[in-house]
Amino acid sequence: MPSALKTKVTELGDSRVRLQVEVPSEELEGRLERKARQLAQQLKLPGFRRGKVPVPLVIQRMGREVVLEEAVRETISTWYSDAIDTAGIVPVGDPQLDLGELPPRGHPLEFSIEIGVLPKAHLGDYRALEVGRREAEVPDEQIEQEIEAMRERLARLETAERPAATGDFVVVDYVGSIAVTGGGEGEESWEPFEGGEGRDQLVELGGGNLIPGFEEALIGAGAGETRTVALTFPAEYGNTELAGRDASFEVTVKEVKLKQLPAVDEDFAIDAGFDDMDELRADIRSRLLEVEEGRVAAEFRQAALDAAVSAAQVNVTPELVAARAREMWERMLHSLSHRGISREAYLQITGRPEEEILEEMEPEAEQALRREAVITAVVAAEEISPSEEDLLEALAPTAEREEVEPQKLLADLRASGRLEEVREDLAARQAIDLLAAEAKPIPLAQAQAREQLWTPGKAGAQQAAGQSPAEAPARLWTPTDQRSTS
Amino acid sequence: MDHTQVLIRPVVSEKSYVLSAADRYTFRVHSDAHKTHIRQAVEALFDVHVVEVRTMSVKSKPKRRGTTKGRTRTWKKAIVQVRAGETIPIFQGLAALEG
Repeated sequence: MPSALKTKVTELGDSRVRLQVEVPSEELEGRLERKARQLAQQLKLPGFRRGKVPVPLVIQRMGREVVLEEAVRETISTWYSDAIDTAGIVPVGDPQLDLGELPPRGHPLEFSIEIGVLPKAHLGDYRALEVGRREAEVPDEQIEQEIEAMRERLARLETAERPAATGDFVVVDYVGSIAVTGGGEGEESWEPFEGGEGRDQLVELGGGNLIPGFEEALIGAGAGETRTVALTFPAEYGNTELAGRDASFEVTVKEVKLKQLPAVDEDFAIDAGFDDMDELRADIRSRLLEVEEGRVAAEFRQAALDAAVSAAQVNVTPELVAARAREMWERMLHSLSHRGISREAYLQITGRPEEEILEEMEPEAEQALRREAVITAVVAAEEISPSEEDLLEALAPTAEREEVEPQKLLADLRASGRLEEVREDLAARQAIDLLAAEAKPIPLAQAQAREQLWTPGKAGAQQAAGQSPAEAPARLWTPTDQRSTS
Repeated sequence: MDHTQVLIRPVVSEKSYVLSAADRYTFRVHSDAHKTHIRQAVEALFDVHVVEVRTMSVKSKPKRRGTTKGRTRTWKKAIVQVRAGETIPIFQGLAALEG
């Protein structure tokens, strides 16, 4: 929708602005007419069939104010988001809306919104940052772990001619029955139950996959041996019929099997598709290194951004932080609700009051605000504006996933007005790219040492800027921190 | 006959609304009123110039509700064409008419 709104932004200080919005009368009349047409569906007027009352008559019959009010109430949220787009502000927290008088015909509607905005960051020196960078390295133990995991995967079960021990597998037939209390006092009889029978089942002793007590009872049993296992179903057993009941299983061990891990030798390497162990190790190393390097790069980007944040001055008010924390909380609840967890359920699981969780989120919210402010400032300072090609490139993975042409996706996004969002995200990413590219990597140890050295000075500078002397922890990327996706 | 006796009330309906766009206004008129009467009454009461008057008798229709039988009244309808651009506010003040 073309935004014909006129907006005026007045700074109120403390990162709050008043946004005055003027809705042109044509837009207003259009909305009025649409609402009237909608109301006409309900309106019954003698001489007219239902729904056929002409718009002017509806307005006249119901009263202009009434229809207008309905129309405004319905559209105000659209106007609100349009106004925010037009004014180019990033809102934080809940808006306070002040709707003025409804205007007479032919006059624009005016209303004003008071809302918290992302504070402006006064960038420090963000080009020549020195940022700690961890060396990407793969310890030998990790490679050995990988090889162990491979051996597990390639393990074979071999029949063993000995009693079963923990870690062995046994093949069993079993018949289970549960205790049924009979008519007489204390009399018990045993009855088979549904699903209590099994043939040729492979059981790992010590695997912990079965009812507690079952696996343990088979330790020491040889092939061909039959044992009676008495146990009680746990109270929280999935089948409520059986939970907590005493049961007895007649178990026949048919075979004891031993898990045979392949030896780490040349054959093992050849099985895995390599010439010898050295080559296999080298391959594992390079794969792990790649992952590790990606992680290091992501950490470095994050650290570069955080360094820029530390160098910048951002005036974040407590109200703003609280508002953002609430937003984060709402977003989290929203994603939880997709998994079928309600707010109440979550609070019960964590066993903590909502206020406490909100408070806990505040440091993260504050850092997120600072980061966003800095990114916005860098985008502005560097005049970062992703080109069409950049956008296409960024959209390519999504396009592939949805099996459409990137160009088509771009056009769709443009049509739905969501392209700006994508562009902003991309600009943010490019800003971080820039920070990371300009930053000079220094060893992590050195960076940490410096941080400690610099602490008093930094704290002083921050206090001078009227900020809480919050430390800037090198926090990793968190799911709630959407802007700094690396 | 007085002018206010000639014109009983405007006809407000989908059809008359559509006609009003073509400067034709519809009235229920006295059954004995003739076109000249109507022209004079409209010109006097609404300060417009009448170009043409068409009249018709709306015939009685049988109506029944359950066992109760009845007929609607016959009445005379007049469609008055006024000079282009002139209007008669018959659709305004609907609320008053309805009550």
